[in-house]
Amino acid sequence: MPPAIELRHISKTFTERNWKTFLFRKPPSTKALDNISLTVDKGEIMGLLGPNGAGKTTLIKILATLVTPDEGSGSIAGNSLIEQTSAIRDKIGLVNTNDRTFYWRLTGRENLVFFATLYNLTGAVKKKQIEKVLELTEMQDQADLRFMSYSAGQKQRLSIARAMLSEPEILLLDEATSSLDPITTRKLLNFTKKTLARKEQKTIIWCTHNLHEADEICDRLTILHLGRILHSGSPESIKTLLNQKMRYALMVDTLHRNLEQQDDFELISKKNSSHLTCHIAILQKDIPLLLRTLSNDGVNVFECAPIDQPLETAFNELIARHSSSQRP
Amino acid sequence: MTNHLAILAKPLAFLVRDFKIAASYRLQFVMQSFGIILTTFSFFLISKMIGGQHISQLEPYGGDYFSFVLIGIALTDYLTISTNSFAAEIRSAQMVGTLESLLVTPTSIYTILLSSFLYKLLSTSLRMVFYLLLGVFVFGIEYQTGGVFTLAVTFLLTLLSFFGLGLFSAAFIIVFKQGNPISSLMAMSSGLLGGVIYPVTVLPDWLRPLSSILPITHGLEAMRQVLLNGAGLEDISRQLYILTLLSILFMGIGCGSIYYSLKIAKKEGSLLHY
Repeated sequence: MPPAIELRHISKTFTERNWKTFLFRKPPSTKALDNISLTVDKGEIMGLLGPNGAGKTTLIKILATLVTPDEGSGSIAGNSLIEQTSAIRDKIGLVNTNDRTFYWRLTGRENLVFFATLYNLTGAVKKKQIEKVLELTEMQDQADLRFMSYSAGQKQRLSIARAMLSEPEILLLDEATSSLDPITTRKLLNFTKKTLARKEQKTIIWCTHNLHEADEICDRLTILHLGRILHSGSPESIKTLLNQKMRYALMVDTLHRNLEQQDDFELISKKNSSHLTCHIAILQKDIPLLLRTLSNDGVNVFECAPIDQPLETAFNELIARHSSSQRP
Repeated sequence: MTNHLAILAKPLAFLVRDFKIAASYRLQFVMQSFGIILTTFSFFLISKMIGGQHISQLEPYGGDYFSFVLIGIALTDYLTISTNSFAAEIRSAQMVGTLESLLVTPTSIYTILLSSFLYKLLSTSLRMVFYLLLGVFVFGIEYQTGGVFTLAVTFLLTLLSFFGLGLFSAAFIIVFKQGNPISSLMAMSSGLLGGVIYPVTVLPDWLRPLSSILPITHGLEAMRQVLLNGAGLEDISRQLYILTLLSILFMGIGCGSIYYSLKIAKKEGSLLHY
């Protein structure tokens, strides 16, 4: 099966032009994307991660055909990224944080009716589809209220409803949870993973700053920094990529020399309490061996949990390494 | 829905959108109607002031200044909305943020621009009808009503050339974001040289060639001949010929400039900037 999204050597440089640069000097330019190659399979949730200025939004805009790449080629749902932009727009849905992309004085339903027509839906099909997306996003009860009266969460849900109108094969979600409270965020994450990706088989690009949610819902992560892909793979592959020691908290009934010999060993609870808690620094791959040794020597391990967020640690380390390699 | 109706679905959606948004601002509705009455009345007073005088330049139009100027201000309204609306739609959508949501749909920029013009076209047409009815029933103007087809052809050709200028103006906004010298230039030059509130024969000889390249000059001349003198297609064939050429020229420039401005904006990544 061909990939839903395939990008080959995409580069994009933004040049700032004004009358001064036109007359007197070379315009300043920023390389937003540098030789990006990427494939995303149908039904896959691909997370785009990176600090500010990494190129995530530029990549989303290129996928949404709002920006033309300077170099490279690609295909989205089997259509050329350069030559078949209209066909691509028929197959993508874009969700972003900007609630100004709706008409505030119209109701949610009136907004959906308008955009459904622009997505070439007519008559009974249009009506049915609007009801379907309202039901999917649990917005039926608010559909006839003016958009301006919606909460941030309702606006975001309507944005998802609009993106789903044409039943697109690919959904581009740019910082989709940024204005949502934890409960609504949790609902959206579940909805995205269970309903959109697994049930409806949508291909999803999930662009975010939030490493925890990326870790939770994405099948694969692509880390961007300064316009380049630092790594693309499963969240697990990124966590183990760096092969660095991470801090773990262990709760045991007795201390063991193997624990005390670990790097950064620190006893947290007192020796005379019933359970002992200690912190150690250890490679993730060495954890099973340690637990086996402790068990063989009669030590009961009640809990073993990472203190550091593995993805966050890996992400920060990757960015730091790349930043230092870029310095002259 | 049949294919024919499906083609009209998008323009209709824009029309409904704009009507609903406009209707949500009720005071603006009332103020606009009040403005029409004030404008018409002020020109009526001017015509009363000069009414008794014989003005030779008005003779080709029946000699009555009020009926002459009413057609002028009505068509100027169309010029203003045509040259401003496309650019204003783009600018407003850039500023408000709706441009992105419009451009990610499989709807062409031409459909978006032309459809978003419909509400303004309709409301301006209602205003024009109101101007003319006010002239006829309140101020006693007598229009020739025989040449409806001729009037429609003249109007369509004039409007097409205005559209071309409007698209060119929108292309300017897509690339440069603000300014829009095209619509300002057109408004100024048409007001000064187009024969809106005085006949072009009043202009000095050296300015008349400039007047002849403006579509409003020919549109107004033809419409006045039809409405005030009962002229037919043959009588105004020269104006229709020029209007046809100007429509083709300006529409070509307008559509071409929109195409290239979008290409530039997408290349520079500035399409959604404001």
